Amino acid sequence: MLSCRELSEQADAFLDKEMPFGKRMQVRLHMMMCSGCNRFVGQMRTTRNLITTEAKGKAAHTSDDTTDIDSILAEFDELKQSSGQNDPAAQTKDQ
Amino acid sequence: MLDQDASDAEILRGLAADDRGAFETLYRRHNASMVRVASAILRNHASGEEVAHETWIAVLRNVGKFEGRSSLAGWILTILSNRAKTRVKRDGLSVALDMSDQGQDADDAFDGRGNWKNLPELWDEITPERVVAGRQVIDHVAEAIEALPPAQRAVLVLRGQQELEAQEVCELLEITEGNMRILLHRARRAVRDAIDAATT
Repeated sequence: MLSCRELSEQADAFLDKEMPFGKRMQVRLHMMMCSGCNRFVGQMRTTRNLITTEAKGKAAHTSDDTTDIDSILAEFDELKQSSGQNDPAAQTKDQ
Repeated sequence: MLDQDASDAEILRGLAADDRGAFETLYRRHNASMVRVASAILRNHASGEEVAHETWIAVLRNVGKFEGRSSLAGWILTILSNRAKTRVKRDGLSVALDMSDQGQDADDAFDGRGNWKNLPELWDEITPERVVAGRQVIDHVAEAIEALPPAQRAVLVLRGQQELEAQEVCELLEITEGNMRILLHRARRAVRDAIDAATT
């Protein structure tokens, strides 16, 4: 039987569905009997969702200021006109 | 600008057609995360912003070479991390991502037998917009992420926000899968603890 401490350490793997079936069943069984762990896993699920939401909020906030976008596109246009070549220094092949 | 949920393929088509809106969509989607990851690797926010800027130029110059074998985000973040690591070497910094500051799990939540000392709170009322301690919950989350040790912050952004595959994150940050999982757990736990402290 997992202890509450052990379960708390494996809550991420459980929520990310990166846990073997047998282990997953152990976690589910523990949670059925333990309100503390049930609440903790609920908190971690909420935390994961809030972390994702935070990134989307950052993305929305970024849209308010287009100075950097303008600067990148202007720099790119200059480079295109002056060289017309790809950047040899960048390692850009996708894996 | 393209729809906020535009696919990689739609964005790539837009970039190929020199559509500024496609670039804006891509930039908004990834720039904040890129700055966070580069800043974590370089331990310096201004340098992180510079590397993110350089990366966007490289992306625009080389997008025609993207073959779709990884996600577009994975490709962009690979360019970013390569550039950040190059700068680490150039500036003589000894370690790209210091693993010694992983932090520790809080032990005081459990008794000697590994049981909860106090029952965790129910979080039924926690929403991003809810105001606690004078600020929205989402602002407490942002503050907690910024306060994370760099290695935890980088893993949280790449895995928890950009949703890269575990293997991609390990390759980008040159860490083992075991270390990645520990860092991710500690990062999420630290954010959870910050929310808990603010709301209870």
